[in-house]
Amino acid sequence: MRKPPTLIYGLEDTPPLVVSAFNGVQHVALVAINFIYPLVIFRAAGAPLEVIGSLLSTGILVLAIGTVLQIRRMGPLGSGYMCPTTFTATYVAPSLLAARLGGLPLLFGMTLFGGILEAAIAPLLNRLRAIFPPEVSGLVILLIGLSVGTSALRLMLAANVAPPSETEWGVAFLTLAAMVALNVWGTGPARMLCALIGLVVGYVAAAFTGLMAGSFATLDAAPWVGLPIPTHFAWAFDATMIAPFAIAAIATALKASGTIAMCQRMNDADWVRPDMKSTTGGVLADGVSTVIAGLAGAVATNTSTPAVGLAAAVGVSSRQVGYAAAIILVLMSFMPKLSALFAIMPRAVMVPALLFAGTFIIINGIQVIASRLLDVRRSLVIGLSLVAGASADIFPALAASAPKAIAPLIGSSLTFGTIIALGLNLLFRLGVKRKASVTIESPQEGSRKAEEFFAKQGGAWGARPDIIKRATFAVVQLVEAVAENCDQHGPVTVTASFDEFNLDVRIAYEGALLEFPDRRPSDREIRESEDGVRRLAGFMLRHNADRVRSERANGMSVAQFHFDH
Amino acid sequence: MSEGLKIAHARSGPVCVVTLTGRIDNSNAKQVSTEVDGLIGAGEKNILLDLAGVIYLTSAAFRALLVATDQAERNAARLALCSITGHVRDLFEMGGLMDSFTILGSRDEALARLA
Repeated sequence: MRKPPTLIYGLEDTPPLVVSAFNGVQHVALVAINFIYPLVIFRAAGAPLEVIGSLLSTGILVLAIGTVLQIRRMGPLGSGYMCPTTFTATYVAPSLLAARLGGLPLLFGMTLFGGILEAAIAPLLNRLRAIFPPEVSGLVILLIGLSVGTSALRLMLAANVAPPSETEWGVAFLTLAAMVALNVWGTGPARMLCALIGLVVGYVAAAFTGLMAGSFATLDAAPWVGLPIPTHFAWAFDATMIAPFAIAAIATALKASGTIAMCQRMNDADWVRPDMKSTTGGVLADGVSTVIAGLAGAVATNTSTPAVGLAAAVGVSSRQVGYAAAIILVLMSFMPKLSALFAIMPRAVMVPALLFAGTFIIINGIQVIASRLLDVRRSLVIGLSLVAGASADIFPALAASAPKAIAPLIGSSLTFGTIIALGLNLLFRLGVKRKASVTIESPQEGSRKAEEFFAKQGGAWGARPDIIKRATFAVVQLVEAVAENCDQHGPVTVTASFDEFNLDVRIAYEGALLEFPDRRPSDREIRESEDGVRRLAGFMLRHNADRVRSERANGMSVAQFHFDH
Repeated sequence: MSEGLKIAHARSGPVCVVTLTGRIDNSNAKQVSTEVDGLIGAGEKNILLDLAGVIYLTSAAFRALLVATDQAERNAARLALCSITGHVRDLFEMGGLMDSFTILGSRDEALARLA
């Protein structure tokens, strides 16, 4: 692994103590923004404020453990990267369902189930991509963002809660405005920590306007120092909760694998594709962290993508920073007053924070969806599933009138939308040929035909646009090179076969084989001889594909290009 | 003009900017060399090729660019490329050709450097 020049302190480096400590504080500040998720879930379970404070302390300790599990590779466990752990939005919707249905015991029992499932599927992750192609994963992320946003608004607008006062609206607006203003117009740390600073603004405004008058007793009663000992020892299981938590477990596994791939890419200048051993170990550690959360009495955890983004932005990805962040989290977990301060967060502050977080999750989902070429089938999968998911929130009567066994599947936008997307995705796979051919009659039509063929097939297959561009180039360049240099005559047949992991392109023609040299001709050779151009073509084709082969078969020359997908 | 490539001119101070749009392959690569030859013949000393609108280039296109660069050097003119991003940049890197040309970031950056 070669350290990229953009990193000041790479994975193996030991920065000065002050650098590690300062970066550790920044990571913890980012992670702390997600403390709102356990708060909203514990409140839905009806837990008293002092219990929420104690549970949060335990949860913070779990985050420290999760962060260390990622950094240290112990046997199959851990990614080996500085990849902090945080509470996750992915579990918010199913956790709220469980909390409302069976209180804390069901919440922790199902969190435990989700963690075990994530750990179990870690080795199967690559295969999951066929069932959860990126556009479906993107839709799941989009629905997670929507559910975070709507669950926030429910805290203020639902029929069964007290209507918000004008003061609450004012504080909520001010909090959101502070977050948005810092995010749009802020620079440096102010921008990076805009959500946390917005929370502080909200707290101050709430305190001055009397919104927290009834909560200060809880804060006063909490000691400055105390042990974060798990206090909750009851777990329950409900079969109707399996689907929502299974979807969350798969979504967190996919997100963890994406975040760890980010870590790998950031730390290796020669990165080509994910190191599956590290990815599997990271997802396993992510699942184990959620298992520990379920056992100890915390909500589910996941790798923190913003924290990895921060490491890339400041150029410090040293493991020592991860350890520093873990130590700070441990110290925080021993400070009950700090947890109590979060626990008494007024809804006028919590709602804008959740809305703000939900916005970025939604956009992230849209970006993942847009990362694939979308044909009519895929557009229908996304559009219909999105409407189905939204209808679950807009029309609660749908779930109310459904049989009890399936009501939880319909009652959550995340679960219902995902199930519809998975069903439609499987249905629409029918009739899509995984293998397609095109014949190029003359070199002059090579470019146009190759472009049209791959644009059409790429959309039907939902292939990655960058891979489709490479495949198109392979055909265009080969057709040009063999026409000029290999005495090619007659039609050229291009056959492409695709599955979620591979794109293979086979090009057959009559004429001599084109060689794929591993040394580039010099600039002068390229300028002054046809042979130089031919060798450049072969050299580029060799590097354009992940594997390349040429052979004679049935009197034809055949070039085969393999692209990892 | 061959199908797939459009060539446009603009002047920015002492720099003659040639904007290439579309695909460049052996059907139209010669047009690029002819274009640059013409500009050098007309006495241009600073030529900037903007590749922002290029979809891809084949080996024939790279040869044309190398010939044009050589031609410029022989006539004491400067020829630079700009807006090499995305897939086009991948192709330059794939061919190990990043160091064979003067490549100057965005169009604005390039104009600032050449002015």
